[in-house]
Amino acid sequence: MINLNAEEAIASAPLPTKATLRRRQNLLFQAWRFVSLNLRMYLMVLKGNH
Amino acid sequence: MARIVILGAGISGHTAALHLRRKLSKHHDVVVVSPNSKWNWIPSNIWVGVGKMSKEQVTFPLAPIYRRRHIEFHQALATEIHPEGTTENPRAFVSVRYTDPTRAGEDATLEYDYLINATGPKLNFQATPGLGPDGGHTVSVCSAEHAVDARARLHESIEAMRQGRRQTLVIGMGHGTCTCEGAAFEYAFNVEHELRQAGVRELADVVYFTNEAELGDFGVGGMTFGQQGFETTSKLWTESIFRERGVRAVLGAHAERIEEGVIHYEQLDGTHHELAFDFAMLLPPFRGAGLSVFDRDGVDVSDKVFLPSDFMRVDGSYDAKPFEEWRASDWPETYESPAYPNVFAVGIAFAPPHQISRPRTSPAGTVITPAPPRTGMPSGVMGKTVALTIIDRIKMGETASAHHASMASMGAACVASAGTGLRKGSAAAMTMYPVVPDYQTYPQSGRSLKDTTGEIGLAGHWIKFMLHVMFIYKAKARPLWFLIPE
Repeated sequence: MINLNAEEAIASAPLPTKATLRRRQNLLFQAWRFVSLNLRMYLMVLKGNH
Repeated sequence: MARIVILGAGISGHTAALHLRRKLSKHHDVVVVSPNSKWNWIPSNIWVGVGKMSKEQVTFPLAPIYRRRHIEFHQALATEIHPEGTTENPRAFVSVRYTDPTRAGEDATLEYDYLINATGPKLNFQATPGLGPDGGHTVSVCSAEHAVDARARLHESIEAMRQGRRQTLVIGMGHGTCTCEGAAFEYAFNVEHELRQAGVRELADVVYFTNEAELGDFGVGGMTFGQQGFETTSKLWTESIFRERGVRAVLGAHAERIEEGVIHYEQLDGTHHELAFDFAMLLPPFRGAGLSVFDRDGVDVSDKVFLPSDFMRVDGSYDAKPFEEWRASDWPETYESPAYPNVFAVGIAFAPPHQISRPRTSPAGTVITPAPPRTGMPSGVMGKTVALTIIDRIKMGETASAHHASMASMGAACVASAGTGLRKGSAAAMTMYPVVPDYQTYPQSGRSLKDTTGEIGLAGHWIKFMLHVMFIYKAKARPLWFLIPE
């Protein structure tokens, strides 16, 4: 049974902590994530039909 | 000498044209027919729609690129396909009507040996009364022009808030069968970001209005991620972003009609509601381009080649069957028309065998289910795959095997912007493998847990911007463009 009450689902979803929010905008950490995400996407392209 | 005609110059058609031209000698003709004079990197339209990019930054004229690459270009709308030619001339051809201002309204025929239908979607605003920027009450970001209009209307709303008037901004899907939920999600969060930047966020009620039964479905049935030793879902992850940013949502909704400032809608539970708005960006559902097909005697055989939705039948399995019996193998691999093997359809133009998300209807029988997305990365891969098949058949003969690229064995990277800015930007970077769940290979969630991931942060925004730069570079066929993967 689906629950169309979005307000309820959103209200009970986990909120990111202050540390998580800081990490999401931290230039050094994000530079590392940039490299890592690009590599992950590139590997995915290789794994597909190319 | 072979002549390949490509209908459409979007991501899949343009990709096919560039690869064909690169790999075939000049003895062969590569011909592109598109009613538009410009190429548009559609994923960046959302930034035009909030005023962070200009129309010129997401489009460029096609004619100079095609002239430089020796590709014949006709700015025209394809209207008919004659795959058997006529009784007098058996050569296959397409009929076109020019939209090029110098030949506007003029009809012509273009013969072909191979045809690629990459016509993309017809934006079906007519499906919902009152939907759309032309005579309706809502805006769109489907084209760069639409996005410019959306930006102007958004800024009017921001101005109203600056004068102290509360505004309700509704962003989402204009019909129960829409696709591209990811684009609506992006626009909703970019608008929310823009409102904060403008200092008026507390006066705005931002509502994401969607045909998805759950947040995080994105038309692909949602995703299960492996994250820090746990399995989590795109549902939970998306709900968390909505909570963090204070965005409301209306789920499982089909817009029945739109009047000035009011959306009348039905939900999956059969209830009917109204939602008042001051600004609404609602995407339209898609149809195929509406091409007609005639046999050599001039008899209309369109239903042999196209489904009633005007999307083209290819090598998929189109037998109606319940969700539990859907298989990855239902999805096409070669994109060849079973009726005419020298005709292909790629990108949005091919008919998907069924949805990816679980199909749902309201008690009254209204279909409220996202249509499967087949834009962006998969579109480019299909365009290249079909180009390689045609190249092999020209070089090695008609019996050369087709190249394969099923969406059930293809991964996709989706970077959903949640706000712009080199220091303040944010995006949800998601990868999934495969796009279409394969429960035989991955019984747990239909996808590889290792390769299906999601992450939010500034890095995602940098990647989205990098993709904007890279794909425009590639589409302009600049040096070594072919090294950039689809």
